[in-house]
Amino acid sequence: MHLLAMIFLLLLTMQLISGVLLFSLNVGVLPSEIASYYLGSEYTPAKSMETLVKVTLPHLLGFGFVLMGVMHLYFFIDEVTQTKKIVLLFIIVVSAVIDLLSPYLILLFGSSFAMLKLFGFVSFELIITYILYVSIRSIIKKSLNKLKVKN
Amino acid sequence: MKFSISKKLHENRAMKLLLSVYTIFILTFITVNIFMKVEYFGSTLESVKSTILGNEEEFIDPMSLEDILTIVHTDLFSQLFILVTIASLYMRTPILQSVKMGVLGVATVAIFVEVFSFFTLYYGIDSLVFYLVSSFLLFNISMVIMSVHSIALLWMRRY
Repeated sequence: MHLLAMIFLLLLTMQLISGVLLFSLNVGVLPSEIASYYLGSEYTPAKSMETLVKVTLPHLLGFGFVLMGVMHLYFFIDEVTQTKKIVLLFIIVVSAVIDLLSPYLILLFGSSFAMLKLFGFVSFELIITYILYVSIRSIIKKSLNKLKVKN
Repeated sequence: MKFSISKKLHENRAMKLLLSVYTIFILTFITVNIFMKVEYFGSTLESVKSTILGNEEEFIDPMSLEDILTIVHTDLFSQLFILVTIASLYMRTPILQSVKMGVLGVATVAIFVEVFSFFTLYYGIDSLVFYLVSSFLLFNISMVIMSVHSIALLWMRRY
């Protein structure tokens, strides 16, 4: 089961990297780039509500699955306090909601919400990276301890 | 995932049925996915290469890095989901540990090779097209083996 959890975390890390690359190439990393991606520019049309829903829908499923998978492995780590686990869960859910909702806010209320999108995306990715790191470290530690006991 | 911890899974008829239905869904997804990939990339190594790198003679534009990343990003998600759920069932079966590890290893390595060869192909190393296609097929074949074997043993009341 340790091996399976490790494979899950490694594949999720790859998924995370591809997501960050896709975001930076497609949308951009500056608030101005994010705003023009959604609101359109001289050369590109603005995104429609339908397009946003088409992107949000699979991400809702994905975020739910990632949240469930990663957090339930993280919750098995005994060294982390219960309070820290709950706080992290709260922060990750809030950042996921901001990340998913902010494109609609940009489209409805203007480019001032581009900063919010960037904040939601960066905070979600950073927290997931932290949880992945802690979980992978914990699994390696447990596996090494198991090996020591066997020897 | 209760099925990964409950003992004597075959005695739970509802769970047995649920897992069988789930496996049918996954097998259908794998089949449709293969057909979709063949439709998009073509069925020969040459057509896969042309789709990714473009072909001036046939007026095919090369794929952009964004296109490749989008495919990798969505495929990784489905592969991750299928691998974790099917493998956690497969690990419960009474098959030899070395066989289970072997199939799981092949499936995992295939995902990494597929992603790696996709990007290297984009950057011009077109000899890796064979690895891209074979790793995609290997992953799907291992998933079919894992799911069919697991469900067959479950119906044979072996675990």
